[in-house]
Amino acid sequence: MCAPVSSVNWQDLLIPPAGLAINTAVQILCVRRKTPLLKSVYAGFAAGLVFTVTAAFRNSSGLSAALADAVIYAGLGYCYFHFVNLGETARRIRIMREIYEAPAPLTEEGIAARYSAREMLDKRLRRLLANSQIAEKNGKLFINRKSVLIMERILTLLKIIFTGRDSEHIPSQ
Amino acid sequence: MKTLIWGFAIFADGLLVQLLVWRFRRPQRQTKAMLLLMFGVALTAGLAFFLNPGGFSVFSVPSPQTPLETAHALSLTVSLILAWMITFSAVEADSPSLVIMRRIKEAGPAGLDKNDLYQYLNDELLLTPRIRDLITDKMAVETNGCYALTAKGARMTRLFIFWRKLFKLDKGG
Repeated sequence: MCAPVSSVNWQDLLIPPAGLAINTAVQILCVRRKTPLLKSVYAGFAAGLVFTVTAAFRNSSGLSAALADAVIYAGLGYCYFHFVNLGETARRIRIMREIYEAPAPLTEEGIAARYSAREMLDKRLRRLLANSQIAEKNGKLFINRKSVLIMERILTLLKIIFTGRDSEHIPSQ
Repeated sequence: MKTLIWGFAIFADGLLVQLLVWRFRRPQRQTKAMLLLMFGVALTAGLAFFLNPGGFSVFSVPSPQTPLETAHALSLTVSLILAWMITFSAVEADSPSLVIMRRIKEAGPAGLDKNDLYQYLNDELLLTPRIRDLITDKMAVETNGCYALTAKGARMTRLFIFWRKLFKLDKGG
């Protein structure tokens, strides 16, 4: 009996990680050339995607293997985007950094003195206003763009499915 | 096409197992438990392919028959698992930006007073739960009300400090 012929080859396994490497390199290059962080992430992702799709279609494994390579790359690129985003927005990372850089262990009050809820809120409001996702008029805040609301609805749905609550603080009615 | 179908199917199975386990009892260290479950499912599928070199079919979709096909399908699954791991962190904990959007939406056409937001989103809601997460995930330890990083927490913090310095960025958060 003949051994089954593989519908994929070694290149199919290597193309997505190579795409991710290109994504990372382009993104770092862009940031070091003073491109805003979000734009640098988009530029890196696009460069990696172009490489992945081109290399996958030039490879001899066919359309379905090429599509799978693109999906694998998209998953890896999504992870990298969030890795960069974690450093930018994650509270846990910032709290760990404050504890790490303090000369002695910190109390909760000590942590709050270095990184308070007010600072967290100020930064987020600045970002939301800068991206025009919200608007401010006479001290009142309004929704400007629905995109974040859609994301909020999707995450709320996932929260209800997996945790039975729509928030870590407020139980579902 | 089988790489795509099997890659997604194994991930979907993992997701279903996670949902069933979470409905029964939510683990304390959710991300770690989720990864163990998901990779367990992927490993089981990999073993099933390996132990059936002649292949088998589910709903007329043939299984991967060669080690390369198996590796390609599992690469897709792993990429989806990692993407889900990142997304799940936003399901576990409330994102302050999304909470802001939700509060503004709830305020309706009159808009949300900025001061209400500062009163609602205080240290107790934004800071304390994240410090607790660090203890749960063994990133930090608490002794007599003082917090210090564990070796694991310090390693992670150094990685993010290095990455932020590479980008010439501030502390973030």
